[in-house]
Amino acid sequence: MAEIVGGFMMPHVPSIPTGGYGESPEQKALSDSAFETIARRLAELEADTIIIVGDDHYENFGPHCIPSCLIVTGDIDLSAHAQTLGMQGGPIPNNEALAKHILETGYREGIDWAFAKSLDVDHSVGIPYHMAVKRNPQMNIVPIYLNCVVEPFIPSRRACELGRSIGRAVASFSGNERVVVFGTGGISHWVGGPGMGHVNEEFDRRVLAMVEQGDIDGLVALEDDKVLAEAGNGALEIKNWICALAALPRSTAELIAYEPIPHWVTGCGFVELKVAA
Amino acid sequence: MSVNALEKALWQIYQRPSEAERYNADPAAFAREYRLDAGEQEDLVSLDVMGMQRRGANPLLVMMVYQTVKGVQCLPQYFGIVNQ
Repeated sequence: MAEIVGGFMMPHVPSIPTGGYGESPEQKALSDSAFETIARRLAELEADTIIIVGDDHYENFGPHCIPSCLIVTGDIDLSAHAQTLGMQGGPIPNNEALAKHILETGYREGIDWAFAKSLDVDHSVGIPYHMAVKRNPQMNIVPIYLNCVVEPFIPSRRACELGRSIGRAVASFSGNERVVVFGTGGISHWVGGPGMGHVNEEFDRRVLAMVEQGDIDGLVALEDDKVLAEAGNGALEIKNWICALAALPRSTAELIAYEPIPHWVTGCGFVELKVAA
Repeated sequence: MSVNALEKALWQIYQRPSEAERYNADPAAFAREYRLDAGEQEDLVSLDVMGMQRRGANPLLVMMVYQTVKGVQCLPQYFGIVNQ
């Protein structure tokens, strides 16, 4: 049977691939090194499928249609905007059978997934793929999108329920996949509005501590209004982290790196979730 | 007459290069094609980023439109505007 063998949290800020946004060389090196660590750990875990939980940045989904949660069950490529960020477009391998199983498991459990038979993923999926997964060319992904960007946002409680359902779906999948789950984005950042460029390191470290303690309930209890006020609209991407954390069976966590990078308008946190023996 | 129409117009500029060209060529004519009130039209035509955000337009969308219209090199200027 398939199993989840690990998880990682990481930022997906567009400046990650190329740098050159005013950050120090040390900050770029720290980010690169953290992604190299994740890529290496994926190989050590002998992972073959990476479920990447991200959020569309008003790019694929516009005012005409904004899914609360969406899974990509078919062809994946990189969006035109993502290709301006130093990443090359081209087909990205999808584990379509597992994606379909997650979708159908969700339907049976009362989760009305939206799904895409093809999608050109934005940077929230593209950067984690490019920086960590692509270095292991034999690996497939399953992209998942939660609406953390356009009000009304997906409730954190629902993000948690989705994660639990994903976990059950993987455990009931008939293949032999070794699956890793990424929660991407965050931590504090103000995107496009007043406060842009500010990082709330205290909030970031509080969230990282909750992740390290496996405190999903505490993360779910963070009210959107308070997160917006304390850590900016971009911090709502911790819903992606909640989903990933909830997908894993009992786990421990280990901080890979944290760096507030105001020039990237983001507090960048990297965590490995290790499945408890 | 709503933030929905404003975001519809903004998204077209952001995601459709031909619409961005039309906006750049004649912002007022472009704005008249959407169900916007006079204030919304004025904010869109002048690319008043804070004005549009005060009307409820999504900050990320507003920023991406600014970048589309002005060029990515103008992002520092955008930082200055929103943090005034």
